[in-house]
Amino acid sequence: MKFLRLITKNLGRNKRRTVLTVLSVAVSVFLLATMQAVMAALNAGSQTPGGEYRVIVRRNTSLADAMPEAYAQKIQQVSGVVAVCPANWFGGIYKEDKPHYMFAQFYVDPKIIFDVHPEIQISPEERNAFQQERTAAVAGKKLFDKYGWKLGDVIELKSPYYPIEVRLTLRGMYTGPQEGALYFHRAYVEEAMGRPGLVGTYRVRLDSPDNAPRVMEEIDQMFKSSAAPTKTETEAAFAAGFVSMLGNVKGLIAGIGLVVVFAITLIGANTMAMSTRERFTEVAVMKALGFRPGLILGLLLCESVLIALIGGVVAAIGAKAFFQFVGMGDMLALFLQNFKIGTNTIAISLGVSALIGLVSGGIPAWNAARVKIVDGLRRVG
Amino acid sequence: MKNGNFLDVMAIPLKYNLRNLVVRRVSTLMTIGAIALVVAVFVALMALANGLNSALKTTGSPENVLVLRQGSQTETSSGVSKEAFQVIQTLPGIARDREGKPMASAEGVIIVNLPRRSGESTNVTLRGVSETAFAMRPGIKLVAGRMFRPDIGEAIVSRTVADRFSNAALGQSLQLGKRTFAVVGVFDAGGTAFDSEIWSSINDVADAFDRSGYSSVLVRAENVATRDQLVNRIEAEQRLKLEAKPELKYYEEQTSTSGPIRGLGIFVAIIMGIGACFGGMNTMYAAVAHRTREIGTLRALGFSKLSILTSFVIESMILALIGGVIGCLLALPVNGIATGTMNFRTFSEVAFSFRITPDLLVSALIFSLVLGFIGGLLPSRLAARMPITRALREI
Repeated sequence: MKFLRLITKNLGRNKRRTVLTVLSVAVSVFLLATMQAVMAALNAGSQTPGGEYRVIVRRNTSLADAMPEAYAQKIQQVSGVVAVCPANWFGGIYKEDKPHYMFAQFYVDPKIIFDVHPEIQISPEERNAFQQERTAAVAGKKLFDKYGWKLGDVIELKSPYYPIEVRLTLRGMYTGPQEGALYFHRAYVEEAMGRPGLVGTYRVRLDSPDNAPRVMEEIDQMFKSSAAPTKTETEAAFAAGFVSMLGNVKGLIAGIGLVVVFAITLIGANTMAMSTRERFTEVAVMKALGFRPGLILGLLLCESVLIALIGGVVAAIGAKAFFQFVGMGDMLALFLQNFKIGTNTIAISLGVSALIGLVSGGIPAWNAARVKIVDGLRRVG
Repeated sequence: MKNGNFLDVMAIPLKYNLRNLVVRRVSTLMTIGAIALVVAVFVALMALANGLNSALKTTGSPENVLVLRQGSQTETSSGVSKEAFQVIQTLPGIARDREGKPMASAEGVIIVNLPRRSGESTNVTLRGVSETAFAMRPGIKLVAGRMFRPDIGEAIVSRTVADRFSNAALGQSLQLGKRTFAVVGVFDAGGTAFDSEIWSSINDVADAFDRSGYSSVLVRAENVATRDQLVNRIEAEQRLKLEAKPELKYYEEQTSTSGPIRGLGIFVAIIMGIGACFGGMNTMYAAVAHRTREIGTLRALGFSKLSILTSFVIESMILALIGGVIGCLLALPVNGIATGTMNFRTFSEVAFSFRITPDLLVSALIFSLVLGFIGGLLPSRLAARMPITRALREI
């Protein structure tokens, strides 16, 4: 540690260069942190806590096709099934047909939905109020915050699929892992549409995740030769299906990330090469004084790792602050409900920064450490 | 002109800058490399957005009018009854085919979930059409097999669907709804949105999915000039409760799908660009520091501050431009690579290819020049402002 001062002194030697390098590492790592968080958010959609206790039943053909209401009772009888809740995507237009006003809307059985999703936190009074009133709705805290809703507000949604419009009264606000959805009564919509009795998906709660493969198999077998065969998936697989429809997003993001890392390494290596080149004489003097090549190599590496790490810290703090206060586009927010700069992201950013420092400092430091004392001392400039 | 002004306005030869770049080649190469990577990422992402946009923009014929239920944004969420279709066919202003029948195609559009060859499944558009549909969309050409015969469960698929999905190749059969469709032909729609679809006859599709009505109706106006009259005429039929719009407009409205990709491209390019700028500044500051004495000499010879400033900025821009050119070259191989994403409007897959256009390359080069300019400006100002005496004294 006695050399720490030497390293920090060297950092201050050309302040402008150090600052520029730190900044260039910082913006690039900021980008990496964002990409990593996007990737994590895409994965998180399929990893809701408690999600392993749920399977989703839908038509085997297309999500746009529906199943009969009577399936609920039959699914309920499969052993290992605790609760079955019909859930339909409403997809209504709120205010305007713009990404800013898009959010998840489901019409469900208000009595059962909380049994299927025990992770939904809501006060018993609000829950009762919601269950009792046919036109009531509950929504996640995130939606309340985004649109400035209050309990008692009336929400009008116009369906793009059917010629109907629903008027809902907000009776409850829930918190939990998925706060971006609005739930309302299935009976209300069914009545407005003339009781077609169609169910888009059944959310099924199991007594144990271990039973999932057997239950999924049994449900699909049961309806195999009916008019509406089903496809049952774990909740994770169901959610991952939506991500995979976006195309090879993960490949794209990983590709960009790789190029970014490569580009910063080049920039960092350039800086370190410049600053070690200027120090040839000095290194020779240090060697003449008895510093070993290994120590010199270590000192220079520490210096470049330190620069990169400072950049990484700036980036992590910057990313945290940026997405806290500025946020991102509505379109992205719609798809990345769980986007956040978490501990994981920060740890990865710092790790990558350190690695960049190590790699970019490597060759220049190696060259400096091997400089011959006579050559170094002979050089002028 | 006074004699003394001669050197004031004279520029320092470009050769001076080029040679300087060669002298410190390692540093030059690393800076060029960083800029090249930034530009390559920019070009690749924009090519992705371009490809998606052009797939949607080039879809549709100018004479065609698409009829949907009032308030529907997409064909998949629309519905048109059989009676309404009969009424539409009788409207004046509709083009007629050789046999004198009105060119109107009742279509059933259904999103089906199919497994990709890679294993994951995704949503594909299945379109049931009337026989006139092909005369109305002349861009669609069969490239293998034959046309489907109506009402016996045959289908044709686009080349991309045949390549990307299991059991979708010529001669195989697809389970869609409650029926099995034999794939008897493969078509090419010239890079339009139809290139992501499966086509069969409207009756087969309606039967397979128990649909009693249609999703949409496509009609052809006699010519482009009377198209808007036809639109008005359809919307004027109050009892139909239908909405009509030019087919071109319908697809153009979907180009918002490429917005997020474009946004991502710009976001990544700007952030990486800032990073590269800082890196470039470092290089240029080092260049200025190394050449303090040279700068002093140039000033002593009579070159003006402006000449020095210009010279260094140009040097930085040359550096960036070389990086830009290399970046474009690095990105070129992605041109034409086929890919697909979800169309946010229809929730079904739209297939498209990366598309690098001359415009895109020009904007990439301009982008690199801007990087060079910004990165070079501050160091060049430092060089220009250096007092001659101090510069010459430096060893």
